[in-house]
Amino acid sequence: MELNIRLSGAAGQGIQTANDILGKLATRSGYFCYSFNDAESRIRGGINFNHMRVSTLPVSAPRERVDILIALSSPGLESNLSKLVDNGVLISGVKTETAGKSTFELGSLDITNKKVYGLAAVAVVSSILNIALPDLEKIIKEQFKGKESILDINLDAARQAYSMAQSWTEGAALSLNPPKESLQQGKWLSGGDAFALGAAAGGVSFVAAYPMSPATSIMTNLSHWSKELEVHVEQAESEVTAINMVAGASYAGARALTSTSGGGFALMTEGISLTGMIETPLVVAIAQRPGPATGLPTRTAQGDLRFAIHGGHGFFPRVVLAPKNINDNFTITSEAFDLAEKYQIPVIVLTDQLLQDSKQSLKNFDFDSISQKRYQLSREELEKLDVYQRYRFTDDGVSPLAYPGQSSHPVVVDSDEHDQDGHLTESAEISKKMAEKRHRKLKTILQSCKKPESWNLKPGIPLVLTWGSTWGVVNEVQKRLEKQGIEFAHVNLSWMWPLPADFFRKELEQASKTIIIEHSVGSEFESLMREVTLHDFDHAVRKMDGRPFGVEDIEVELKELL
Amino acid sequence: MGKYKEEDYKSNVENAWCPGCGNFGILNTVKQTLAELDIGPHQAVICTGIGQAPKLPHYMKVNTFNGLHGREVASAQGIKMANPELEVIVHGGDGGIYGEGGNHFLHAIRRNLNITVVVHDNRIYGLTKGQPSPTSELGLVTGIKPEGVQISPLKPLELAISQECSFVAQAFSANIKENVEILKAAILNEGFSLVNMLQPCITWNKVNTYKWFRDNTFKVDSEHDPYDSRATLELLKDKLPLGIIYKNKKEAYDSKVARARVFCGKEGFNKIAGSFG
Repeated sequence: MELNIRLSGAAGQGIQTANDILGKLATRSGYFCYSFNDAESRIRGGINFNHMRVSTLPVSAPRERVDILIALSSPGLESNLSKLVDNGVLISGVKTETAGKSTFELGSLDITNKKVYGLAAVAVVSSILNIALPDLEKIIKEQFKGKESILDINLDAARQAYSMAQSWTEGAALSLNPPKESLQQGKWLSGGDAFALGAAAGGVSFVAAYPMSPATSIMTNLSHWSKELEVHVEQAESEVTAINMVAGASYAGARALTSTSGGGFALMTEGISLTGMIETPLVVAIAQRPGPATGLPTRTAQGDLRFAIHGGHGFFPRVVLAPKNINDNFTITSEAFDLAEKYQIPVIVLTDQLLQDSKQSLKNFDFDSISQKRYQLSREELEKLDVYQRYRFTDDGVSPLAYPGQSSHPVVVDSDEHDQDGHLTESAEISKKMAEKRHRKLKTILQSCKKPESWNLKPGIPLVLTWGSTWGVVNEVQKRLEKQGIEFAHVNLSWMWPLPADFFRKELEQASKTIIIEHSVGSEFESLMREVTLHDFDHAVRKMDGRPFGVEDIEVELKELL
Repeated sequence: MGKYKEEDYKSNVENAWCPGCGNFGILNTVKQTLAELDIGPHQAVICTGIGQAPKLPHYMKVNTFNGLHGREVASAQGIKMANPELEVIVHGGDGGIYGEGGNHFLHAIRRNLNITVVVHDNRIYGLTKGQPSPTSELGLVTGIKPEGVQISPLKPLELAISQECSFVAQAFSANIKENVEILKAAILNEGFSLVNMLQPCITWNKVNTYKWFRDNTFKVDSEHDPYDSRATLELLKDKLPLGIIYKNKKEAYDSKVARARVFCGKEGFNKIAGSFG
C-alpha cells in the first residue's frame, strides 16, 4: 500500500522544503518513504517537481503514478495532471476550474503569504495520513528554529490547512495506515548525504573539488559538517587543480577525495593517470548526468561507465564501483577509501543524479561496521629500515606505504617511469619490472572483486542484468511481476571494474533469455559485458531523455520482452 | 649552522642537465639553504612538474613529489594543507608555472599557503627543444618562430605584486651566495613566496646569456622598501632587479587548515548521522 504525492511548482516556491518536511514526518510516523526530483537547471521559475512515495513497505525507485497532486503553479498543474489517477485528488495553490478532480483549494485558507502554501499542502497530506497535528507542529518548529519571524505564519497555515482537511472526504478516502513493522528511529536522507557520511566513515580527511551538478552536494555536505567529521574541504579553482591537489594531499598522508561529474572528470584524466603512476590512494566520485558536453546538467544518466574505466592515458590498475541505492552510497563509498589505500590506486565511485538527489527512509548508519584500518608502515617499522623504497618490488605488486615527514626517510614519487627509490629512470630493464609490478596489482585487486548481487538467480529462466542505480526499478518490477506469475532472475553489478575474464559467463549462458538495462544513449554496459563474458544479450533497454526509469515503464517493457 | 651539511642532501642519481646549465648553481643554492635553515631531507618536500628545472629534487636527497607538467603548484598546495609541518618548495620552469600552470599560480597567490615557489626563468623551453616561453622577449628567434616572438612577454613579478603576493624576489642563478639569503628569506616568510630565478639556457637561448643577465640586472638598494608597491613597480621598469623586491603582510592560510589529516571519530559521525531523524 502506498500513496504517491507529487509536489509541483516553479523553482523558488519551496517544494523541496515541503518535500523534506513531509519525508521526515512520514518516516518518523513509521512509513517507508522515497522521493526523487525533476528540476530544471535554474534557480527561479520553470517547472520542477518532487515525487514522494509514502509506503507501508520499503520503496526505492521512481514511479509515474500520482495519487495526490500538489500544484503550486499553473504550468506545474498542467504538466502533471495527466499522471493523476482516477480517484486521485488535487491540492492546489492556483485556480483549477477545469481540473475535474476533487480539489483542496489552498486559496480558501485565510493565508496572505503564498510562500507557506507548500507547508499548508504538507499539513493536508498529514491529515490524510492520520499523522497527529502535534507531530506536524513539532517538525515545523524544528525546521524554523532560529527563524521565529516566519515560524508563526507557517504554524498558522499548517493548523488551518490540517483542520480544514479533516473534513475533506475525498482526501480522507486515500488514508493509509503506517505498517506494524517499521524502521526504528528511521532517518530521512539523500544519496548526497549518504555519500558524504560514507566518505567520513571511510576516513576522508581532505577534499578538493570544483562545484558541478549533480556532484556538488558531496563537497557542500562535507564542508558543512567539516568540524564534526574532521575533514578539510577546499574549493579548487578548477578540476585540474582539484585532482592534482588531492594527489599531493594523499602523498602527504591524507585520505583524499574529489567529486565531479563527467565534464569535470574529463579535465581530471591526466591527474588520474598521475595517481596510477605514482600509486597514491585516491577516491573520485563521478555523479553522472547526460552528456556529451554540458548535456542536461540537472538530470540523470549512466553514460560514463567506459569513461570511468578507461579515462586517463596509459595502463594502470584502478577500481570502479557503482552504488545501487542510497544505503550503498554509504557502504560502498567507505569501502572505496579502504580499497584505495590497500592497493594504492585511484578508486572511482560512479553515482548519478537520481541516486545523489533522491531521498529515502533508512536505518541509521553504523560507524562501527566500517573498517578504520590504515596501511602505511609505522614509524618504528620505518626507522628499522636502512633505506625506504616507495616502489619496492613485491609479489603482489603493492609496495610498503609511507608518508613524507613520518620518519627520517625521504619519500620520493615521480610521474616519470621510476626505479624502486622513486627516481626517474630510462633503463629498459627497470621500466619493464616497474610496469610489471603495477600490473601485478591488478591480479591482487581481482581477489577483492565481488560476485554481483542477484535475486531469484536460477538456470532456465530469463535473466535481467543492470548496474548501479537502475537496480531500484528492476528490483521492484521483479516483485510486481512475480505476483502476476511472471518470473525472472535479476543480477546487478556494483563492482564494475576490474572484472575477471570468465566473469559471470556461466550464469548468462544458462538463462533462457538475457536482457540488459542501462540508462544511456550508447551501450557502454552492454559492450563491457560482451567483452568480459563473450555473451550476446537478447534484448537491450536504454534511455535517452535524462529522466529516470519509472517502475511503470520498466514493468511494461519487461512484460513485452519476457 | 647545525645538524645538516650539504652532503646530507647528496643523491647518487646521474645528472641529465647540459654541462654549464644554470640549474647546477640553483641545486647548490637549495642544498646550502636547507642545511643553513636546519631543514632535514625528510622535513622538506620539493614538488615539481616536468621540464629541466623539475628534475632538481632527483639530484638531491629530499622528499620529492615530481608530478605533472604545470601542476606542481596545485600539488604543492595539497601537500601543505595535508601536512603543514612539511616545508614545501616548488621548483618549476617559466613554461610550467607561468604557462601550463598559470591558473594554479594565480590562485595559489590568493590562497597564500606558506609555500615557496622558485621559477627557473630562462625565457625559453628547454626539454622540448627551444620553443618560446611565456617570458620570452619580443623578437626572440626560435625554431618555431623563425621570424621572432610576436606576442608580449608575461610580467610575472608585476602580476604577483598586483595580486598582493606575500613575498616576491628575483635572483640570478650564478649568484649562489646572495641566492641562499634570498631563498632563506622566502622559506622563512609566512605565506606564498615567489622567487623568480633568472638563468641562462646555454643550449637554446642565445640572447639571454650569462653576460646578458650580468649586464641587465642590478642589485636592489638596501634603501628599497619592499612594502611599497608603487616604488617596487618603479623598480621593475627598466633593468631587472635582484633581491627581495616586494612583501605584503597577510596571514597565511595554513592556520585555517586544521583537519586535513585527522580521521573522523564515532562521536562526530553519530552527531551528524543522527541529525536526519
